[in-house]
Amino acid sequence: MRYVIVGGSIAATTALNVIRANRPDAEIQVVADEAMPFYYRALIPFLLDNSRIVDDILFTEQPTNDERVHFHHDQCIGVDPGKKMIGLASGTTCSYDKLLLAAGSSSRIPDIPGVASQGVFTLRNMDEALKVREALQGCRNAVVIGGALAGVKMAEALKRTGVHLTVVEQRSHILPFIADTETARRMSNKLCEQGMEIHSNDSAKEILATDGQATGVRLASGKTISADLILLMAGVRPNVEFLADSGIDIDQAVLTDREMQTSVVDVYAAGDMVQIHDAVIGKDVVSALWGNAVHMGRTAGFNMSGIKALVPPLLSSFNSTEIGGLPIISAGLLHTDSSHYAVYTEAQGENYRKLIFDQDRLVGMIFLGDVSRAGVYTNLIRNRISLGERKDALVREIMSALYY
Amino acid sequence: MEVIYVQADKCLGCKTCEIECRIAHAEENHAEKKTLLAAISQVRPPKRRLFVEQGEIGKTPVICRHCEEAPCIVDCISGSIYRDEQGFVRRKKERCMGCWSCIMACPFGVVVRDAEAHIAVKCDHCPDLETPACVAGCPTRALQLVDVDSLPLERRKELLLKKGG
Ligand SMILES: Cc1cc2nc3c(=O)[nH]c(=O)nc-3n(C[C@H](O)[C@H](O)[C@H](O)COP(=O)(O)OP(=O)(O)OC[C@H]3O[C@@H](n4cnc5c(N)ncnc54)[C@H](O)[C@@H]3O)c2cc1C
Ligand code: SF4
Ligand code: SF4
Repeated sequence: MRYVIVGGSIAATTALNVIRANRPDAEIQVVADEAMPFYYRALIPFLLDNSRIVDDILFTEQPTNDERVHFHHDQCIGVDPGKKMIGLASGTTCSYDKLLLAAGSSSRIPDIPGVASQGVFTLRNMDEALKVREALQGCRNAVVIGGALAGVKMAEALKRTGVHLTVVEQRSHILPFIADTETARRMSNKLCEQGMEIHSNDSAKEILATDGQATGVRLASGKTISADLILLMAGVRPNVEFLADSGIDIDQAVLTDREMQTSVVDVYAAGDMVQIHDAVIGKDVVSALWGNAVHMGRTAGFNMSGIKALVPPLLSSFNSTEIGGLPIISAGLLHTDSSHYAVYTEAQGENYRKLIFDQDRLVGMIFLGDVSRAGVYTNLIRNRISLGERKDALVREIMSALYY
Repeated sequence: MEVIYVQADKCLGCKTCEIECRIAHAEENHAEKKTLLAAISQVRPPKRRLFVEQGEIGKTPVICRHCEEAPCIVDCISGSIYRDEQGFVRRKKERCMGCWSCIMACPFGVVVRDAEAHIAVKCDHCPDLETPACVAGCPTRALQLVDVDSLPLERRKELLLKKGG
């Protein structure tokens, strides 16, 4: 059986390992446009301030010592499902019996003047991180455009190198996908106490440059911030352009069934380039989560190996991190104005907890500070557990835990 | 594979298992004298990795089940959580960067945050001991080692569901 996998990150390698384990007869070709070895993408911020070296962020198990697997450092530029073949940028082609698309997502580049100036970077892969680390030599002021999770993680790493750092976020608060207004306020305060400058409700309108070298950012509010290094962290978009003529159904991202098969037979997709069905909000959305990529990659791997498997319920909001020294775990619905839901909040010192219920179902939660036992409750959300009479006791259990 | 089997009705709530767990996980340089005193007099006393909690019929120890499709492995973004050769779910200390995704993922709430060391802490099934410390310490044998592979499938399923209390 000939397998072709496009992409070289977590969704791709998870599927690869499942296929290797289940199909002794597999001949697998992997096409990845980033050089080997594979690495943990979420750890690249730690390269910026040298708190991790490259070796420390590489996959602990590289799938390379298997003669059934052949790697191409190349880019897939198109899929022809009729001929069961993909085209590569180098001019060659690969034929497949089963194809996995796991090309992830790329940085969205804001459409403003000056983005091509020197000193302006997007930052989503290891190469870019190493370039930014170089550029940091002698840098005094840095601006991060985009205050979502990846932007704030980069900002914290840059801050640790000693530069003066400003974050610009066009929404009303930073961390829009993992926090509500109250938690974002608490985390912003922490970051500001630590010397970071945050401009929310404001957006970058122009990158100012002298002789092609960036010197600052002009904001919608009219303010200008001087900077010798600017990171564009204004979100990501799924890598689906190369599928334009393939006939594969795409909405905001690739559409699949619960076996991870696309609208075209024998073509599967997994990871950030797939539109998921969010188990809580009930809508099809794009998610950019590591765990979702693992689940999708594993499910695709089994089905491609001929073992039927369905992807478990997924959420587009399912995050855990630590920011400004404050842990935060959040899942499901984080904010609502609708009276259809019951919302409970509790604050105790630096700790804050919020629960959102739809009747007797927990549909959203935020734990800030004390995150102990969070998984017990995120699993109630993910699996849409009906709590019945136990609901009130659960609220008491979660909130009172802040007091002992 | 041997797993820890919990019989909730035998638990007295004495927390000997928690104490034995802390002692067994005292810092390496104290290894030659693993006693309660040595454990608690460490600069940072070791965290317990199992928890005696109020269950439906009284106190019961809650412990890592070394899940088959372990959610903590799925969500760990650094490769820190892995399955060892014996099949137990472990955490590589030096890889962990304190993102707490494993705490977000574990449905049993048995991964804890070591805030000072900034790493996640979980049951490692005491790889250096013949019998895990909690099992060895339990005075009523509410915690026992059971070899799941030697059991008939039906019994095994039942056990895996009940395991951990
Ligand atoms: C700084 C940062 C922090 C993050 N933190 C977290 C976190 O804490 N928790 C969390 O859940 N998620 C986090 N994420 C998101 C997480 O990393 C992604 O969800 C995950 O990497 C998605 O994996 P993937 O395999 O789908 O795609 P990607 O990791 O995007 O990889 C896709 C790969 O395919 C390659 N590729 C693309 N197009 C082609 C082509 N045409 N041909 C060949 N190869 C191609 C790409 O170069 C890339 O190597 C973070 C991301 C970043 C950048
Ligand atoms: S820590 Fe939790 S999720 Fe991980 S193996 Fe143990 S019980 Fe399962
Ligand atoms: S806290 Fe450590 S072990 Fe847990 S998910 Fe994060 S990196 Fe992995």
